[in-house]
Amino acid sequence: MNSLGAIASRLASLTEPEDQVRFLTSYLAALEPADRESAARILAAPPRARRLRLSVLRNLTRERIGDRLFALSQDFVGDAAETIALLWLSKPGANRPPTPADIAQGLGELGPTALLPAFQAWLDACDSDARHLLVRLATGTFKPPASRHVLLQAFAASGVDYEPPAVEVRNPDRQSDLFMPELASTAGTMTAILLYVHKPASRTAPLMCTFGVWHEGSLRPVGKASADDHRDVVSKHASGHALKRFGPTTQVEHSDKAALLLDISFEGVSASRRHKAGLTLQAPRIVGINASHSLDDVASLEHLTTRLPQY
Amino acid sequence: MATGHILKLTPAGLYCEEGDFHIDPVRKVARAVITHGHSDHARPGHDAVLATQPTLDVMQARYGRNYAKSPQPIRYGEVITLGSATIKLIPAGHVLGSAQVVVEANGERMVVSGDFKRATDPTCVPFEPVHCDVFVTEATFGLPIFRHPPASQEVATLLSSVDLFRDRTHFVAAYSLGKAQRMIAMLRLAGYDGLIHVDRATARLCEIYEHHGVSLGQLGQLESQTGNTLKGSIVIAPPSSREFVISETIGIPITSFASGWMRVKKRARAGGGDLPLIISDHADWPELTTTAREIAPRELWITHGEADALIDWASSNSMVARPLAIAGYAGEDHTVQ
Repeated sequence: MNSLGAIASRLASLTEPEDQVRFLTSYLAALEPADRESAARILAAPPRARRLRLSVLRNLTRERIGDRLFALSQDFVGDAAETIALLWLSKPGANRPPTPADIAQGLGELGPTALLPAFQAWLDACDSDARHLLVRLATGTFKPPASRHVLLQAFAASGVDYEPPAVEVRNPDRQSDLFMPELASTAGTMTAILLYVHKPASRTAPLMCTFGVWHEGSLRPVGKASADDHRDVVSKHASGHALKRFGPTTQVEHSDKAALLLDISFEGVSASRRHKAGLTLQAPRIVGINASHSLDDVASLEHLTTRLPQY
Repeated sequence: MATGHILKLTPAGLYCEEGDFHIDPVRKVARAVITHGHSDHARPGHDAVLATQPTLDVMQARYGRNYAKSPQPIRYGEVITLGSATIKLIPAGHVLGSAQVVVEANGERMVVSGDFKRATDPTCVPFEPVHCDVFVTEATFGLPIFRHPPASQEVATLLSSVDLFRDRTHFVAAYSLGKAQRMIAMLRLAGYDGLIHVDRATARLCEIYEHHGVSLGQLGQLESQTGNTLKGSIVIAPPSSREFVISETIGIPITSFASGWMRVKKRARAGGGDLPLIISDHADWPELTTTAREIAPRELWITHGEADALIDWASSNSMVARPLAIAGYAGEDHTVQ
């Protein structure tokens, strides 16, 4: 699990997709064959279910370190899952770290009362990167640390026989939209274009991005999501390709060469009369930066409309 | 504040009336004792300056011949009497020549650590704990989240990246005094005998290290590498040199930042580049608390850094802790950029 923690952390730092592929390929190759596929599954399709509450883990950590030191640490770090990972200490005499397969099995099968003690033993045995990954996995908040494209390339190169559950849905006029059907819902993924970047009001607040899709030959905003792990790329783009500034909001260029294309996942689409686009996305997330600069890859509003639930 | 002690906090920094000198003053003074060569502690323009020879050499390299009217070198352990006080310098383990100042007068002993660390560093003499009434500590990494991994582990991570991305330049952003030389020495210890390029300012400081017996091996001059000759090598230089590396190399360099702040993802994302490395010349939380416990002073004064958590820890370990919050000790080596 320490290896997988390092993979997740280092993939998120590498800026170039081809570097991510090369790094992930070499790392997967170094894992035991038995661990390789579970590692791939965890990276590409992490569990969405919340098996443990963050507040439970926070309280356990606070008991160990004390209220005041916990509060000061949390203030500095910002993120609660990371604070827990950094404050929880590895135990010298702990069991060997769990394997990715142990984690996948444990999170999937252990009942609520058995999971918490097992989870604490995992934290004791792991290093801080692995603990950070574990806390996010158990709370259902871990997101793939690289784009689907990067993951698939690396899996293929390292001989991992695993394809994340996804099917390609052909858009009649735009060819590249990719939808992952889940629970027969309206959830999916798409490529969108970055239109506005909103500078956060504080150091710890997320950097928000407004993105848009095609509608009758022009780009129409359809949603807003935190830049998360892509903060560097987005803020660099915003400073290099600013068109106009409106206070904290920067409108960015979107010509063929200057466009920043974002891979967006969302948990659903619903009709909305309050929004100009006529629909809203539920829980949109930026899951990757699309390396292509082709505006043809950007989804269309019409296509999203077809995703609306039919009554 | 802190009346009745032999050191007092003045606008210029810590001052000893009995010996009429300041320690690491932030303004020009008549007599200064300097703990180490980082620019926030060693400033030019004082009249008399007392420091170790490497520290004086660094000051001269950075500020020119007239950095002080009368510099005086002092060896570790040598006792000097100033007025009715005595001082001596003992190793702080921070960078080459770094020292703690032991001040004694009126039956009281105070130790000013300057910046320090306890972790292994092949480029400087290790920290020596000295019992005292008041220990004046830094707290750059004074939060329990800060636990630096062994630096050798981070260097191994860098080398595995060099191995994986052989066709690329690895640009390691590191401060020109201390961090750069420690990285070079540790890369050599780990068996790396490939090319390392450094910028001119770092090279000048590397010469001082070599002069004082710290061997760094063959180094290339960054500024004279044009036409893709950097490809496949490691460059160690301040962050500002990255533009040069990009303009002179085909392909994008793998950028790395070596700092204790890289422990926190938010900081790593903001400035760590492709490969954030957690390497610091400052004590982490276990080192700060172990040192305070080992020295067991009656009072712990905290010059700068994240003081709140250390104060909380001290009070639950029956020490009186005082934040000095010296403005001006927050430059080189304390922040990410």
